Amino acid sequence: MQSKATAESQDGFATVERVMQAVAELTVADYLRLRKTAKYLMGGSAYQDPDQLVQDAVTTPLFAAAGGGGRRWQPSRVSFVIFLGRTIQGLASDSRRVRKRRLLLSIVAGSAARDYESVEPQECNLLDTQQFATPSVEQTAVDEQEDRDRQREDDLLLARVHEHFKRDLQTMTIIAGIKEGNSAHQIREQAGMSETQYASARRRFRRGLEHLFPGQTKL
Amino acid sequence: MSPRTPNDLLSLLQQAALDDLQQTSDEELLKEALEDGDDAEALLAALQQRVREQADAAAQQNCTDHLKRSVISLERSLKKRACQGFSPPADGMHAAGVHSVVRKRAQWWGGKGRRQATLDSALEEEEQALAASILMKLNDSSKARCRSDLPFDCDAESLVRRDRRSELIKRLLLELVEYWIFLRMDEFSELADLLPESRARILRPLLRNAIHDPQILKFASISLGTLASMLCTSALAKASGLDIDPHRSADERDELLRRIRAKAEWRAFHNLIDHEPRLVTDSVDPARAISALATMQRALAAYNPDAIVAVAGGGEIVGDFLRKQIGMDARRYFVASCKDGEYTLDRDLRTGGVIKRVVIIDDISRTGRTLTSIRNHTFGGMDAIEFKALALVSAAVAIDRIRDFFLLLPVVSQSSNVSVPWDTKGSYRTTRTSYVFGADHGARLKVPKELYEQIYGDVGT
Repeated sequence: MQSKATAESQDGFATVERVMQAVAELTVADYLRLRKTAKYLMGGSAYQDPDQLVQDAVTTPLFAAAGGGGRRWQPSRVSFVIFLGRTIQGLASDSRRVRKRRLLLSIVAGSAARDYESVEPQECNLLDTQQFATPSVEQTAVDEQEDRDRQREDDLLLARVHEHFKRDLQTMTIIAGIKEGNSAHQIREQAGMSETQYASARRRFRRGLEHLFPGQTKL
Repeated sequence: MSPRTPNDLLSLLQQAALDDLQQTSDEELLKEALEDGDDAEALLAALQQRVREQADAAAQQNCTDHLKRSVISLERSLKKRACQGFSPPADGMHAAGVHSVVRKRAQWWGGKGRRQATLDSALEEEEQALAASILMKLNDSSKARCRSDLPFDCDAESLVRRDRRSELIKRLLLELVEYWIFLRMDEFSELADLLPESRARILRPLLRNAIHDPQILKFASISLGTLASMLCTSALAKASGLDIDPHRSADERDELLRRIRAKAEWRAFHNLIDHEPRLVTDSVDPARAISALATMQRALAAYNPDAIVAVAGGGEIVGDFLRKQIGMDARRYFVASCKDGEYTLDRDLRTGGVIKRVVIIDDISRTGRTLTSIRNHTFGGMDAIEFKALALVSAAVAIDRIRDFFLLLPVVSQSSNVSVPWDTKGSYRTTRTSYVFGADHGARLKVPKELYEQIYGDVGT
């Protein structure tokens, strides 16, 4: 097996070999943790399968190490499992925020075009700049429709959460407390729960979400 | 403050679940997996296997290899087509040129790929030689572009039916676009964060669908021509030893440019650039309009027509300007007006003397019907005369109609509802210091003569 030191590039990022080594070293518990992370975060995203999301996260540093761009892993700074957890968050978030991504693309394209224009204005292609950087009426309409669709889906998802937990008063109290931004202590005080009851209800809430989110929504 | 949107609420619930997960021990997770009936070990093994399968491909995925594989794939495709009896048609240098260039490129990459994957100085020399070779081949198509042979094909649908080369061209274009995006992605870290490695999965289907979209394909064909000329520009600069060094003195630069301009490749290159259509969405800005007028004047002077026929209205503004610019006698200048759906001249064409070449000029060709109607109906049966169409801006859909007889396409617009930067109901006037387009009516464009002459001087040789 190749040593970790030699399996890292000079800039501290993992090489393909180092990533493969880390994948091979994943424990069952690590995997379960990542899979559950994927399950919670899939809600509202385009992902339908938590395993797909985990696989995408694992291949992220692999492609990056092979020179394909994307998020790279620095073994000296963060453990592989935590890196993967963050990558899962990024992928799910990316999948959810289509509109934001589009706007950012426009901004990037616009600034790139301006830079280019300042060097050689006559070569600036309007198709590449104006149209791309400025959302058209049609594009805006599509964006708005997507927003409405996504909001409807979020509403449905929230309604399903409430429906699922409606008979579990303690969990419903926790959900209400989370929505209000209350701390665990505040929630326990309001509901008159012991620490054990609170921990148990939190676990029921978390386990409930696992069965609610996967594969329920799509863009 | 309480969150407001359903999305915010969902995010809070998801985060709460993640927080709870962090506090959950490994033992508890294993117990939960048992409760759910998940065979976690088997699932993990399957994941590791899938990742291993991707590792080999990922390890190869660097820029050079990416391009190399693309072109080698093209080479294989060409060989396969050759086995199926496909061969490049003899008609048209451009058609043979593209085929030949792609094959040569593929062979070059293929041969090098077996021996050495990285670029070295020897490869650089080959690059330069290849650039010059490509340039010479494209020169033929460039000359044809000035006339009506249409080397780039806007009617890609019919091209697909005619022969299968367009499939290869599309694939090449696709590979280049993917390659370009691949490179650009790395430049913007924000973008890379938003589109991590899954971008390839998002982009590829989008691009592959787009390349088969007939509307997009029309522009893709034109863009391919633009891309080719830009690549040639860079390659030629390198082949000619052009070093864009800001510290170089003006004399050194002039000397270098003189040496470059003496080369046949440079002249070919200039010819290419001069006749490259500019793409716009739905309006022509003043700078592009002036540049287009200068290009039209250059092409008109080279073609040396015996008469000009301006389409009444907007066509007169451009036609009158160009006639005066090339110094054509007013007796050889005609105006075609529409009456009862048919275009008629303000006087008999024969009053202009012996006429063999006529250019029909309009400002905007939205559908191509006006120009086609004048050539086919107004001048129907005049087989001894060669008619050419020249519009400042042509919509992409119009090109289908005028493809057989356009003299030049200075500007091509995506939309048919395209506009020029002056009121087309106005007229053309000249003052002591300026050319005025759209005068006497609404918006006008005033172009200082000195500026125009400067631009005209820069357009072509």
